[in-house]
Amino acid sequence: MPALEVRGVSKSYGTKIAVDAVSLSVEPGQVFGLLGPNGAGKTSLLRMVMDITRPDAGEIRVLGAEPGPATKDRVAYLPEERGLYQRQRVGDVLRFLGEIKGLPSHVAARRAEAALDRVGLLETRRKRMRELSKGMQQKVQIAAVLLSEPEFVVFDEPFEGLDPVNRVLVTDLMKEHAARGAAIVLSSHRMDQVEAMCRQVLLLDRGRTVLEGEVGAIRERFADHSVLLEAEGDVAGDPLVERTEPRGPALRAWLRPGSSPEALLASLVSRGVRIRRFERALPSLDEVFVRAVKP
Amino acid sequence: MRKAWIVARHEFSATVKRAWFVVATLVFPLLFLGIGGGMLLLARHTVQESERAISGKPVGLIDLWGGLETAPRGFQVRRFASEEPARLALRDKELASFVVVPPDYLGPGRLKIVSMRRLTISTLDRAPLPQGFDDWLLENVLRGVEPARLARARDPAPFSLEFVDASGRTSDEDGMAAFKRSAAAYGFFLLLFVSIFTSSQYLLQGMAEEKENRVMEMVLSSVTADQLMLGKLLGLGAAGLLQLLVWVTVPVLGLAGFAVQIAIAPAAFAMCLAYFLLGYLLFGSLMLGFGALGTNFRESQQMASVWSLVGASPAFVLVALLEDPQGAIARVFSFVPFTAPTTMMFRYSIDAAGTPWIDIAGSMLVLAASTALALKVSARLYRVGLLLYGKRPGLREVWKWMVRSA
Repeated sequence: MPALEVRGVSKSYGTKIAVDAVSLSVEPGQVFGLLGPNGAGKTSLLRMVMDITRPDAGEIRVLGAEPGPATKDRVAYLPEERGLYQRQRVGDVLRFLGEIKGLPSHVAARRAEAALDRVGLLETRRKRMRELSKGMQQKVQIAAVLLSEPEFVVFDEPFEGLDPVNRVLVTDLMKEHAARGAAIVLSSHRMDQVEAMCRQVLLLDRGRTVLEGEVGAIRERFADHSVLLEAEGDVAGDPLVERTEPRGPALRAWLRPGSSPEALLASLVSRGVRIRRFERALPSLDEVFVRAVKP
Repeated sequence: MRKAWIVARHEFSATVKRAWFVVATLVFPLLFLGIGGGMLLLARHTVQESERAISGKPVGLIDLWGGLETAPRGFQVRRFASEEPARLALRDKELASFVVVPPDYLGPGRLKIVSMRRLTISTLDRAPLPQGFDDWLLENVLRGVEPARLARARDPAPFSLEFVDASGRTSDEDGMAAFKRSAAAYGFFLLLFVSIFTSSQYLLQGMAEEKENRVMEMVLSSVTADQLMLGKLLGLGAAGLLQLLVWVTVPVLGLAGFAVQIAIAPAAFAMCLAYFLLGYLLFGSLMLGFGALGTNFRESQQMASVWSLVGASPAFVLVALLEDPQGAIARVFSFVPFTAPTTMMFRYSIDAAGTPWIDIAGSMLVLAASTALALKVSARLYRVGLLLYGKRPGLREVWKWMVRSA
């Protein structure tokens, strides 16, 4: 049974269509990437999944049930628009957030300490939220999301404002939870992180699904007849090469129409070019994103 | 309900721990007692000062009527032939004041009193003359009249008042008791108004802070908007109730300490509690619902301020309520849900026996029904408003949401 199943879900605000007949499915233990430019409808979709708003049409099933009071204790949400009670103490805030997830008070208190310890902020538990830096507050928010050990978690732009060390920490936490069977939806503009974390992605643009599937297959689909190679010798002058572009220590070479990578490799070898690396160039998710949503 | 209870506990605990809550809860009654007591002491001091200044010196007299022949008792008189030397003596502080008795004193003539002492609010009704001066004048006006008549003329209409209400019941309340009853009525009015709106302000502030802090969505992924609203209403209502109890207890204990007894029927306290709870739920839910439509605390306050104004409107007719607590204005205000709590408490405190039970029950019924409707409409506005960031809805949108929920 999928942890999340969205079937033909639509949502409008006045005359503006925020989400238009979107469908997707996320399995337990899977990290699913939800991509899209600003205003694509990602947050509107996630709010419906989290039972904060209701869809106008379509069906959502979270952990086999309609989103509602019954599922709220089993899911967690790190929204893009986030913050915590600034005047209150870190430990008290986390205990409260644990209690409204259905944890008994003493369990919530214990889990709050463990979660703070996991993100390296145990010593801040008696401090007020406003005394923490922005980055520390974000780590507390992430601890708050994970302390109820949810079966399904939505992270909306979790890397915003985090330094590289903490980005790794968040990535590790997500992997840990996925490894114990939690389904995760990761909504982010950080394509590199999505590419590293997710096998399945869905790209939204103006409320509609533009792309959906495995990351590798999508990149294959957007492949543009080019190869990536590291070589000594004249590559650009090969008759089968249309143009080249340096990519760090490597070179990306676009083939002329009708030629194949195999033919180019044979041609280069026959011309005495020494090859150290030769592979089909696949576009990054960044490139796919830009090309897919280009007006 | 369990989650609403957790939210309520959290809200209560977070509110009562705040410094400004503690300060407001403790300082307000002390301030009330301090200002009240201070004014009382100041007034007494002013009167005593005034009397002391007069009693130590003779009073000047220019008797143009010529009838004040007897010697006064208890104070001294220094006679002058004209105003000029009297003014000089007054300037040299030999006199406390001087009096010119006009030749037509037995006709339309009025006394002219000249004094260097200005009147104050507490000595407005006292001429700057020594005690016994009036009696001395009367004694001279009625010279030759037998002593018993003279004594009656000094106090011609002593009375005891028996008040009969519309149902024929009587009471023999004196002026002081009436004053205390009015004081209690004003006290209840102020207490109820301040406590309802202070508690509602806590709600508004907490909600606006949550919106500004962006904590709302995280909380809404764990509880429903209705649970959150109910929890807030209960938690902050409990904080308001605690504050109300302190505000009632401290002045009562304080006044008891001053040996001042205010006539308050025990039923009035129970009614105050009931009207506080209903009034708080009505105004609190409306403030939450409409306040949620603002994008920050200031905007939320603006959106909710209309309810404070409506709630304060009985203050404009307090004199009418005091004059006729069972009159048409009083009854109309008792059945308008926004004005019912304060108006009914005022009416009951002024005239407990004369307030028909049907008015009390009816106003509570209207208030309860309105509160239920307000909770429903506000819950809808609250749900919609919570997720509005940086965009304030127009009146048409708000109306549409209200109608849809009703």
